[in-house]
Amino acid sequence: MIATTGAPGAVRELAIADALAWEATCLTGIAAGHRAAITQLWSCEPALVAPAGMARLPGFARACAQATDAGWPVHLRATGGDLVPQGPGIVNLTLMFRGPPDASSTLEDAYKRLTAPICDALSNAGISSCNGSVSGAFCDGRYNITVMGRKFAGTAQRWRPTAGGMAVQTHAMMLMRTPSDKTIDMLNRFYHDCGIKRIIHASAHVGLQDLVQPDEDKAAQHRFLRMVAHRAHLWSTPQMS
Amino acid sequence: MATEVKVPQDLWQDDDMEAVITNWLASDGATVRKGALIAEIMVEKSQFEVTAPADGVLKIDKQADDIVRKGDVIGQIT
Repeated sequence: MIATTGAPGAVRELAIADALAWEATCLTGIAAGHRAAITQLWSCEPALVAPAGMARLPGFARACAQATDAGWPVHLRATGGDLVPQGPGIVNLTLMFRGPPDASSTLEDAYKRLTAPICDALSNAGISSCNGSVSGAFCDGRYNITVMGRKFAGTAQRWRPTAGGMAVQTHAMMLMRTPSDKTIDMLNRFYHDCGIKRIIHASAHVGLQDLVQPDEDKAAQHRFLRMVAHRAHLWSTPQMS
Repeated sequence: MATEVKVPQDLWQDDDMEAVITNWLASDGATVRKGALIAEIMVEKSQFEVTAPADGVLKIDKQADDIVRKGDVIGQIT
């Protein structure tokens, strides 16, 4: 069974804690064979989301307290990567599926499966994109989606072995608005409080709003998300893999 | 006879790509059951769950934050 919620392109508004719990439940359902695939667009309130391993850093608790006081509560996630902001200017795509029993599927294949719908939707909007790292971007990685050398979307995964293959959780966070200096300052402060020497630059990112005509941004976002949802749904069907 | 706990050989294509053990969820010397989640490794922003390949007592060979490659033995179960 392929599961989606709401109309195609509809963005489900979730509290970040509920979104992370929902993803965990879905992965368990995929691993148990209750579902073949799940695709969902969602958005949440302002928060910082860190990989669970970051909680071992000596300054983590203090950094969390400072961020929470500043209006950025911190949550831990199950996928890999690094610290990211969440909030109204960001739409997430969660795509989960079962890998084949022969384990011929790889991390690279899963990233292609996740990013293809987004790149297709950008292309449909006349925006050229590719995969690659961006110096100075938050949660940098080779499977970012970049536009004009700036990060438009970040990606991450979690893999769970099952008796019949792999349950795969993939996740992309897409920037509808270019992160503000205030958001980037929060990330840099968090790193500083954790004792990590890493500097993030706002100019390393770009949101959809800055890639389309100003008077068309809402309609363009709607068309873009509708196409991402449609393509992701096709890509998540087992017979298309 | 010991059963090796290995980093998967076929999870990613690039032979030169390194992973890191992000967490051991079972302690050295703990009794584990086949299929139980015992560790997590991260590569290319992907978190991979390592499950026990057999019932027995876990001996940890590679520690959290150690760098590992495809096929590396990270522990043993006897």
